[in-house]
Amino acid sequence: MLRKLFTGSLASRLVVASLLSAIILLVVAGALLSWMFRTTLERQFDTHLEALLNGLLANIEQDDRGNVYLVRQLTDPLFQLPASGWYWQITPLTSDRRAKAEFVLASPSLLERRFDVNWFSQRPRDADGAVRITMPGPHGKLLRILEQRLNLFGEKRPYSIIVAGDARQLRKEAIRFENLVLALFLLFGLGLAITIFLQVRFGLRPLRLLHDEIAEVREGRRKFLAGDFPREIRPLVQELNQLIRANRDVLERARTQVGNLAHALKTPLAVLMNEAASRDDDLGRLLREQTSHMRQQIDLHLERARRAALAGTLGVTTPVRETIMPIINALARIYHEKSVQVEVECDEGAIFLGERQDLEEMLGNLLDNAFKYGGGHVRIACRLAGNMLDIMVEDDGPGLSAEQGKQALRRGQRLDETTPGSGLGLAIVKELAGMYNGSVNLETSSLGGLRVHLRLPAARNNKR
Amino acid sequence: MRILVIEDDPELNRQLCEALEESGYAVDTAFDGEEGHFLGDTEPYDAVILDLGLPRKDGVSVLKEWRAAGRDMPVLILTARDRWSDKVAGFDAGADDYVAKPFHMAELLARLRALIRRASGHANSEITCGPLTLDTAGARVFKDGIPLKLTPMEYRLLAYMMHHQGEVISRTQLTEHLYDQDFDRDSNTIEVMVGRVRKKIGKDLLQTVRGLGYRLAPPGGNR
Repeated sequence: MLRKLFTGSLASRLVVASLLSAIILLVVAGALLSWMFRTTLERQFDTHLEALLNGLLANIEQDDRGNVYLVRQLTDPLFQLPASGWYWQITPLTSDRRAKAEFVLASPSLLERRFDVNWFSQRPRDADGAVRITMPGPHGKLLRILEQRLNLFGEKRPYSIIVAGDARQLRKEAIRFENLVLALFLLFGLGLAITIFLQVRFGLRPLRLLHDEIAEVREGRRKFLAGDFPREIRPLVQELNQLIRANRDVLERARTQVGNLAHALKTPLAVLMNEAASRDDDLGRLLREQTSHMRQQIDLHLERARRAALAGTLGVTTPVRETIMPIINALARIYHEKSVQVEVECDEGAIFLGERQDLEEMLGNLLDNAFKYGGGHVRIACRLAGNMLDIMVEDDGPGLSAEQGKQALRRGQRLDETTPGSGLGLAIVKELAGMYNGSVNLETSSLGGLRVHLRLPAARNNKR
Repeated sequence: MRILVIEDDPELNRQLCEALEESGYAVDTAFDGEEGHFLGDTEPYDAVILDLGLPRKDGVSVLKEWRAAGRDMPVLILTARDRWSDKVAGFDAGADDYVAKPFHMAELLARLRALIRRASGHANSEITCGPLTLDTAGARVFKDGIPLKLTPMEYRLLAYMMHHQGEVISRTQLTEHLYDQDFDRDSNTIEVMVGRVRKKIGKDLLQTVRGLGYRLAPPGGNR
């Protein structure tokens, strides 16, 4: 699950990694902050305790027998209140630093309880010789205790002076602060998460753009990646473009080779056909049969190569009128004897959105039929209708019945075996038109013959 | 009628040659574009069969150069490339007809006959001159509906004269159009042949124009 989160998406990889580090940093920062706050609080409390200790020292005296007594009660009434949590205790020590319990002087709040001074003897001391500690006191309350050892009244034996205060407030304050820090840092973390998410989205936008452009290349809507990509992925884009170009070259070469092979086969095929035509024996028949089969195969594969050529040539445009005229000139020569009268009506700016070769193939086949089967009157019109071209090719020949028309649009059908040429070519026209999302319809012409209605996509005029 | 065949495939070249000779044409052959271009540029042909995919110089270039130099003999393109874009390019270069491989020899011959007839200004497949009728498809000549017995060379001579009836044809011109390049040309043979043909069709039709050559014309008129 976690692995999938990391390898599945660059974005989640970045988001998860950033979030994890942010959480760790926030936790450490929070802990550090509360620790710092707690120490500061304690130091403040300790300073207060020190002041109390000094006040206590100022109010004690030694009597003739060497016992310590209190001159004046301390002003803070909490030291009088039993078990208040605020205590003081002065303990004279023996020369081996043990407490002399019988001479202990303590605040009334302690009642008859006493601090164990010997325990303090084992504690590590701060630089000023004092022990500062937070622990439960004689009445179960949590106390902050300051213990100092001092030599009083010029004596050699030291005294242990303890001042302690109620530490519960200290604890409460610290916890309040910690809760505040927790809430604040949670909010902070949430903000950080949102920022990270937005950052990743923004930062990875060029990648999404790249993705979109690659999709467009695959769908043939653009030839190469051309976006303004950041420096880091520019080498990748260049490599991709190289790859696209190489792929296109390979495809182009393969296509040309299929074409060349098919064309190269046609000459030996012509030789075989001619040889077969002159023989009336079994071998001749076999040859005729096989050569006709080979011819179909060649045509099939040539057509496939042509169709493959269509991929990636989108965005090419061809003006219609300039394509019609050379075809009519060619046909006028082929059908010289027929002296065909041709009317051409073509909208200015009628531009076909597609390859010239394909338009030539469609118009050539249609006009050839009109010249061949017509009675000498051919009309071709091309009108711009929205984003489509309506091309009508009409003649005054015998036309086609509905049944014949259906048959003519089917592949490999040939209606008239006596007129030379490979069928009507209507099937080819239909296939080509289909590849361009166009259509072919057979209608009856006002001239009396066939009218072929060819619909093809038009290019916008300003687009060259 | 003298035809130039430019086709790089030796087998197809041979077949074309045989079929054309069988139909009564004198045939020269070339196997690459440069040789073909040279022949078409220097010899008078009545028609050329030109392959487009040729070694050394492609067919379209050959044709374009001929047309640019004013050589206007009819040219029939014979090619494996049968898309309309190829056809348009061929006609643009100045071709007169276009046959795609693989083809039927009979169709090619018919197209060629039509081309030659068209070039000499005859619209019909049959050409007549007085009592004579030339059937180009069958390679025969009829006189008053009865087929004449002619040798291949005699047919060539008569067919050429009938395509150009009314014109004075010099002996050199006849030699050039009746024999292929490799033939051992001897003007005497022409004279002998004219004499034999004249015997078969009748004296008045084929006249000798002194010092210039021969003329085929129906009796009682120049046309």
